[in-house]
Amino acid sequence: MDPLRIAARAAFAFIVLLVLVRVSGKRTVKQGSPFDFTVALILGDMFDDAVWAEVAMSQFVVATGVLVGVHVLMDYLRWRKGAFRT
Amino acid sequence: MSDFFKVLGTTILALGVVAGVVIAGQDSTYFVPPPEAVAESFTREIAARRYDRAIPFVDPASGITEINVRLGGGELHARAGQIDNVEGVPGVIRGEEATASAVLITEGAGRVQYFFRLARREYAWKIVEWSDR
Repeated sequence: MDPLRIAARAAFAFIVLLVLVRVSGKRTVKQGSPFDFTVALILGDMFDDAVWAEVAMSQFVVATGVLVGVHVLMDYLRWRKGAFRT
Repeated sequence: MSDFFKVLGTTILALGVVAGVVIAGQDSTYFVPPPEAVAESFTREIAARRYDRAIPFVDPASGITEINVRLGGGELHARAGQIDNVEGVPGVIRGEEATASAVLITEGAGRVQYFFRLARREYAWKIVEWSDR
């Protein structure tokens, strides 16, 4: 595959992931739970699919947005209700 | 809760950028899988005998059905044995049509090449013709 395309996809996917992780409130690895680590692994696999054009960039954005969004919601519920342990 | 809305906003903004590039910018290779990536993904699914997962890469109007794919895959596996590697090879893109191929490195038949003709359907490349050599 054309290196320019790989670079463009990698740069865009990196920026999307960086902003999503930052706005989700996670700042350091020290703040993370074991489930944060699991989510990070899943995000890494999605990044791989996006860079090698196995999925469309819109699918990558939706998948990562939903995953991080649900993760943030679970954190909120855990804090609010004490019902979930992630 | 504000973090959730920030994530939602970021997702919508990123989708807007992608839509702008793909729809307004008529991108067909950067933010959508290029023809050779479609050819490679389709061939990988056949190599793994996941024929139902190969069908989404095919244009429904092409006449290629899951039965065709299963028959082609069965013939390939009988002839070639174990498939060690699959690699997409770029062809030519001309407007809404493109060609690409996928090279399979196999144990029994050596190097097998699949040739594809693709068409752009709703901003994604779909296989309309498929042959092997």
